[in-house]
Amino acid sequence: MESVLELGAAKRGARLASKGFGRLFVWVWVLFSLAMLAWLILAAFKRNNTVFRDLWALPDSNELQNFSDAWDLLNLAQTTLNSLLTVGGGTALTMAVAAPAAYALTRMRFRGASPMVSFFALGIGVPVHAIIIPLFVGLSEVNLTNSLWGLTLTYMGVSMPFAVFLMTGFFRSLPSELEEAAVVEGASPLRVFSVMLPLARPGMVASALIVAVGLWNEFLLALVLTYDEGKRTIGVGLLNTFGAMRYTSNWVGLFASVVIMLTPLIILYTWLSRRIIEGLTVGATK
Amino acid sequence: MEVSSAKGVSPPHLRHDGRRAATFIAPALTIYLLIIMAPTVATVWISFTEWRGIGDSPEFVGLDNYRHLFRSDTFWGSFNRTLGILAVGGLLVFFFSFLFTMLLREMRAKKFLRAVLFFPNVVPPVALAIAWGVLLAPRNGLLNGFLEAIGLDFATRTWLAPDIIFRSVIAGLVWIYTGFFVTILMAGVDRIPKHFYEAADLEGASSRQKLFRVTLPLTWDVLSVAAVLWVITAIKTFEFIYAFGGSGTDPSIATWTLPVQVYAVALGNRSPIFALGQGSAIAVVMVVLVGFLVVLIRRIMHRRVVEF
Repeated sequence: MESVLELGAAKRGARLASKGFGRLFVWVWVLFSLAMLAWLILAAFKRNNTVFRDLWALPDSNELQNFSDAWDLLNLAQTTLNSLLTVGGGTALTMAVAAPAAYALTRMRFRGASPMVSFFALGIGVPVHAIIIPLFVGLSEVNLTNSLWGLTLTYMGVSMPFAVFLMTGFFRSLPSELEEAAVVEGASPLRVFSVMLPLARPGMVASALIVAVGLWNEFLLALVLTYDEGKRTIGVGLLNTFGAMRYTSNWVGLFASVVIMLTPLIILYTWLSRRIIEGLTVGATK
Repeated sequence: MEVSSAKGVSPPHLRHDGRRAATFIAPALTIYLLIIMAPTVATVWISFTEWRGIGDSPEFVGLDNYRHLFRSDTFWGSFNRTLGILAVGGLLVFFFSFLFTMLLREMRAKKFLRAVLFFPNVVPPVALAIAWGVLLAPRNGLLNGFLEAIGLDFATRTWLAPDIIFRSVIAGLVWIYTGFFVTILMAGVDRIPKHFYEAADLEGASSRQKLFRVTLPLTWDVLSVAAVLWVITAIKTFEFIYAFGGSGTDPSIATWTLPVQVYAVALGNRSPIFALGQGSAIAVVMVVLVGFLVVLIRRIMHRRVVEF
């Protein structure tokens, strides 16, 4: 009897130890990511000739020069504007057409609604590489290459499948009482939709955030579909800065560029990470 | 991505809204067909031609592009590396996401830890590639520097050398995507009512029994979605590999995957060759691979979902 108890205790001890080890591992992983971020941010304030000599040293001076270099390297005023226009425009337009579509697909009863949702979801599996060649040719036929309009339209298209898919998840989870009340009172479908829209706002915000973050970080489409210096987005700017490193070796300028591009994301993320994360999981689990 | 249409209980006045629904759906559908579906079909067609782009007229060559591909070592290299990400990367991503999901469930800083784990997924891949490059740089890299600082000099490696650079790529992708799948799996696990675990505890179930008898069956549908998402992600992931493999220049061929090769032969690189037919054929292989694996996963994982 006693030995059985001892055995149980030993087993429990081993289990606790492995759990403790597991938790330690989670913290190591998380601290590793945070340390890397911290290193990059600190490095953005260091001097180019010492940044790799003393890896762990703190910056000895406020090297704001790096940031003004980065400003020029990224052509920041222009690229930020271009990114804001295309990402903002693309996100807004996506939401404007994806929301009614997702609403109709989940709240109106008609034959073919379910296959139609699957048809939209199919687009999630299509890699950008499978559309980019004809897209480039097609857009240049209508003079929409090297154009922020063309890029915005493209952003709208590539975001559509995921946005529709996510928002069908949100609309499906809404209660139907309000909707039925509106219908009983003889409201038009458009009116019913506008009654339901505020209820779906958390879902809309989450979807818009996910779409916007994805587009903000995108560079392949921007790289291929635009080519003038003045049409570059910030993602392409960062890639070019990285490429120019071969000749300039201005590492600290590059780190400052990364920090500039990360800053709005970090602010947004600290503020809204729960919304982003929880929004993302609705589609997968509903 | 199982889509359950709300069944049965729709009030009569909400039924048969076909025409009204069409006006709501038409704009989204038009954009979708125009920007995604039509170009996909066009890509299939272009893959049967030889074409150097605007100013050249496409010449129909049948299956030549595919024949050429299947005889090219470069293509099989890219193909195998893509499968490597899928299989090796997938194994690691799912192992860690499962482990972390189970561990995080009982940790106090759960929300914070999850947010940090997820963070790489909102960071521009170029920035991640820069960070990963700085970490693994052969001289003055953070990892080698750290290993030397703690006296493990023998463990230092030339992480970016052609023979192991692709392992470094996979490690980077695992670091990025684990947080994403932790998030998805956690959402599934969080839905399981606590009393199932309490009941299991009362009956003296071990952690392993709880995993196989409670967690897995009740998250099976979420797992199936996660597996599908991994297939799609793994096959189309491009920007991190492109930026990391090239350190801002043309990516070294030792890191080419299918999407990188599409870009390299059809569109990009410093000296593009604009082989649009070739590039399209590789893109078609990607789409077929995604389609095949997604159907396979749905078949394998299709089993009666446990309602609770």
